Amino acid sequence: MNLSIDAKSPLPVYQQVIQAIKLEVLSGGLRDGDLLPSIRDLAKLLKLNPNTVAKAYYALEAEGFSENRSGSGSRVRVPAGRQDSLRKAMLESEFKNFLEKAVSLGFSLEDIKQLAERIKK
Amino acid sequence: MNRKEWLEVGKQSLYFVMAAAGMVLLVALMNWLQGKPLEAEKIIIMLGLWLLMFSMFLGLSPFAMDSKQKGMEYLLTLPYSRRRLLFIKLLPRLAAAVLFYFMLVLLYNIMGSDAFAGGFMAFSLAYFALFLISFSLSLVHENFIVQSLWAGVALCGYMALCLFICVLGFGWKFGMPSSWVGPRPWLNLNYDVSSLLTAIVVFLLMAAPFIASFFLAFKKFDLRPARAFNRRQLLFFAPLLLLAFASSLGVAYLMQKSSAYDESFYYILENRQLLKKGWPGKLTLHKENRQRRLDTKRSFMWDWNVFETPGKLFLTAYDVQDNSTAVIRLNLDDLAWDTVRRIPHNYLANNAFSAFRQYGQNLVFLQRSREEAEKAGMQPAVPLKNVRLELVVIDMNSEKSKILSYQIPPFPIRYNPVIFAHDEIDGRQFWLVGNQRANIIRLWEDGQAEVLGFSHKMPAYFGHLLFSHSGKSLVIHRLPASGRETVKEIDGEFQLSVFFQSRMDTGNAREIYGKRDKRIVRLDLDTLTMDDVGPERGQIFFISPGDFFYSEHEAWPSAHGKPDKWRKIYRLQDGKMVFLKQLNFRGPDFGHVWIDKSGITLRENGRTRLFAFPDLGELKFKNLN
Amino acid sequence: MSQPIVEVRDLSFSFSRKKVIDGLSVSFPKGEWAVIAGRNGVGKSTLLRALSGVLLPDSGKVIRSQEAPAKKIGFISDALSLFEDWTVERARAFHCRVFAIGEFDDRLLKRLGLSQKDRIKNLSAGERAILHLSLVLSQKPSLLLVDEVMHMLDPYIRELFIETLIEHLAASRATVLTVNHTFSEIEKIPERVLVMDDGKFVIDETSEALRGKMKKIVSRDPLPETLPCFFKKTDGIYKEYYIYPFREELLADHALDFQDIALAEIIKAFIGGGYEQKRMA
Repeated sequence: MNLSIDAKSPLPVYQQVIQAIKLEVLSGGLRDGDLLPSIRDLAKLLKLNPNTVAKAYYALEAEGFSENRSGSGSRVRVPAGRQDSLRKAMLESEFKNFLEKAVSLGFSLEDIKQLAERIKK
Repeated sequence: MNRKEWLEVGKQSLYFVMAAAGMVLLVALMNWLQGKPLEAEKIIIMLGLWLLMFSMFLGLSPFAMDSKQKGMEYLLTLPYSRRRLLFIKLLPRLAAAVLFYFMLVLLYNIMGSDAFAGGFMAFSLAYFALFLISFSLSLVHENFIVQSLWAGVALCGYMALCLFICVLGFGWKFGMPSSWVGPRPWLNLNYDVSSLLTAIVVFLLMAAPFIASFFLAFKKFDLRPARAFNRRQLLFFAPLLLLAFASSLGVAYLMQKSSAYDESFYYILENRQLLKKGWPGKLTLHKENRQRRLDTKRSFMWDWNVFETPGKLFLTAYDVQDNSTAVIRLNLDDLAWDTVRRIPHNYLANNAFSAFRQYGQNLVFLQRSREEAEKAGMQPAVPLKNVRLELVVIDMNSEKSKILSYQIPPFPIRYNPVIFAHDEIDGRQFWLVGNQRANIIRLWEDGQAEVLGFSHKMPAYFGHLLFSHSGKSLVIHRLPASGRETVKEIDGEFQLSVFFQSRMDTGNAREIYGKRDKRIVRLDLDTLTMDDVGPERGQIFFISPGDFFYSEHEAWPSAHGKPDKWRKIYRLQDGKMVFLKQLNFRGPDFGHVWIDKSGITLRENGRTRLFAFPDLGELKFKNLN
Repeated sequence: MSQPIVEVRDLSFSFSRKKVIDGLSVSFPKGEWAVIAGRNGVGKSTLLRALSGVLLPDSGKVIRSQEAPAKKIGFISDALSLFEDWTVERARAFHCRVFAIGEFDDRLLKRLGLSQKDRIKNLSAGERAILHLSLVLSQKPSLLLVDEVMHMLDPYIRELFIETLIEHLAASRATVLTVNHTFSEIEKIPERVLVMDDGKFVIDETSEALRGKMKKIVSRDPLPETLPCFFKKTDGIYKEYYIYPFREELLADHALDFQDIALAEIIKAFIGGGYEQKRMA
């Protein structure tokens, strides 16, 4: 499991936790049915406030990405179909960042398309 | 946290006890090596001083360990209020102080010594005061030495202040200058209930500001420097001290009775009236159903002298205000009084009681010449090493005085010359002057002084015979026109108790009683034979002109700390003890029995009872007690 | 909203005539982790001591809720005060007795290899800090006050310390107030940041809000006057400018690269700015 939280990012920490867990799910580190680490363990691991982790878990559960049954902790849920839209959403977010960066460097859309072609080869 | 504190105090106490035991063993060892019996007194005093130090140490210690261990901040994080913290600190230490005090008291009683005598109460009060004061100063400084200096200074100031308050209250109540009251009340604490109670109340009231200010200031105690805390404590202390001062002064005024000075003299007059001398300067003449009071309005401290002459009494008193001795004449009918003679204090050769004597209708006393009085300064206690002295005779009828001047060889340093006889030979008057371990000197009325030999003990003049002591025997002399002739010498350790009686008219005495080697003996003055009368178990009194009485004590020699339950009064006459009366004492107090010419005065627990000769029936006076 | 666990009203405190805390008011709700920062000697430790009851205020009040009685307040001071001659065992026994603690968790002590017979004075600073933490946590405190001890700790013990605090917070809803100089390890933890200066709090914000309000610009050129620069470091060729308060509009007006910075740097900038103001006053 590889979760990293950026202290500098203006994004609230709990959001970053949610993102990080989603990424982990998408990349296959966490599969459907796996136990999420307890709030305590994750907070200790990432050096976070347990409230923050609790908030993230709560949001995850609200979005349907985990469920808390049988008292043994939260389990990952990858709702059918959601995985795909999730992947797409994440890619879009990454791409947006990339585009912003490229534009600020002075590249046009054409340049970017050409670059994509070149790399694909 | 209680356990921690008790453990800490326990450890400190253990060290203390071990050190004390070590000291005692050391003294015991030294005594044993020297072959002496165990010096109980020295040990008790040593332990007492050590205990005083420990009491100060206990008081200063509550935060010492915590501070040294750098745990003060931790202490303040503990879930106790400031007040609770202080109580937790106080309780074990107070318990230790009390425990060790009682152990000392126990030891004191077991060892049977009288090391402290009257001072034990004062020591006890100082002990507890020192503990409380030290406790209240325990945060005054980090350095223990500085703290103990402060505690010592505070204690001295405190005790001086308490004494001052007692003295001030007493002087205020009785119109006596404080400087004259002195530390006397404190020496009487063991015997005088009102002084003791006053002292205790004053001590407690004056110690309260220390403890109260400490507790009040501690409410805001934290880790800030001591200076802020001290300032705060002082702000509480000062007004509390003033309050304590005022209230304890009031207590001292109200509670103290004049008993510390109440050597209130009762004198049964020949007419069976009772003269009561109170002070300052007050007299009461009791008849059966009424009394008449006289307030001279001067601060006279009456002496024990009463000289009777028809219709008049002559009394002597120390005048506190002008530091002189006054000879006062009092009319028995209208209580008019006058100072017949005023003797500045540095003129008197010795204290008034032994200075004044009566023979016939005359009073006589010795005084220094003016040059020598001035040289001796204001201290009448300075013994008469000088050789010019004056004899003053006051005629009680005319109230006129006559002064005779003499040059005598020097008297030994410790003893002042005392007049003990008057007689005449071939129309020439003389007086005899002497003391123990001194020469007997005859002063003729023409101004001659003649040495009549040495006496180891106090001489006596009885039935025209002079009695002196040679060191292992009693020597009897006759006095011709000059010098002395030894008539008889009797071996043994004699004690004749006739030296200090105030009337010197013993010319008609036929017998004399005294003590020899623990027996009462009688000497017949005609045949000079000595007979044994009985065992010596008390005191012999001589009442002029020739009556001897014997007061038998329950315990003889008197047991320390245990007053008698009874005394038996006998008349000694013709070689026999004639039982007169038994006096029973009811209280824990020492009874005072005073026998004089007209009867017996018994003072017990502040009550006075009077018995008149010859039948020793009790005289009742209204409003006496 | 429930009662705050501790509330300070108009607190003032002087040390030898110098006012260290001046009319300070603040309150801390249940379950919050706040960090108190500020330059050296500004009164942070004093405030913590006042909150714990070790120091008593000259004026003003410290009101502790019923959920935070004396037994439930854990205080680790920077003096790490304990009785020096005592052994670990005695200290533990004493603390448990006084605070009426049933069970003592000695895992931390075991982890460091501390023996019950070790004397307090012989422990290193780190070992003492862990001992204090163990003692204090065994009280199951509802208010935990931790003064600047973390800078004394080696990295391993420091991480252990932080993880233990996190664990405790996860298990209870305690309020934690820490005074910190070293921020990097705990940057992501506190929800609220308070910066103290001149006896008062000059900053009292959530860490999220604070991160949004301060940005950094590194540039060779001087900064336009219109930008609110709170603190700058102009020694080298590349000058660092800390922009506060940052607004979104500034992005539009200027084509500068506003960098996001973490909490540690933000606080450093505040402290630096404080020094600057003091110098110019």
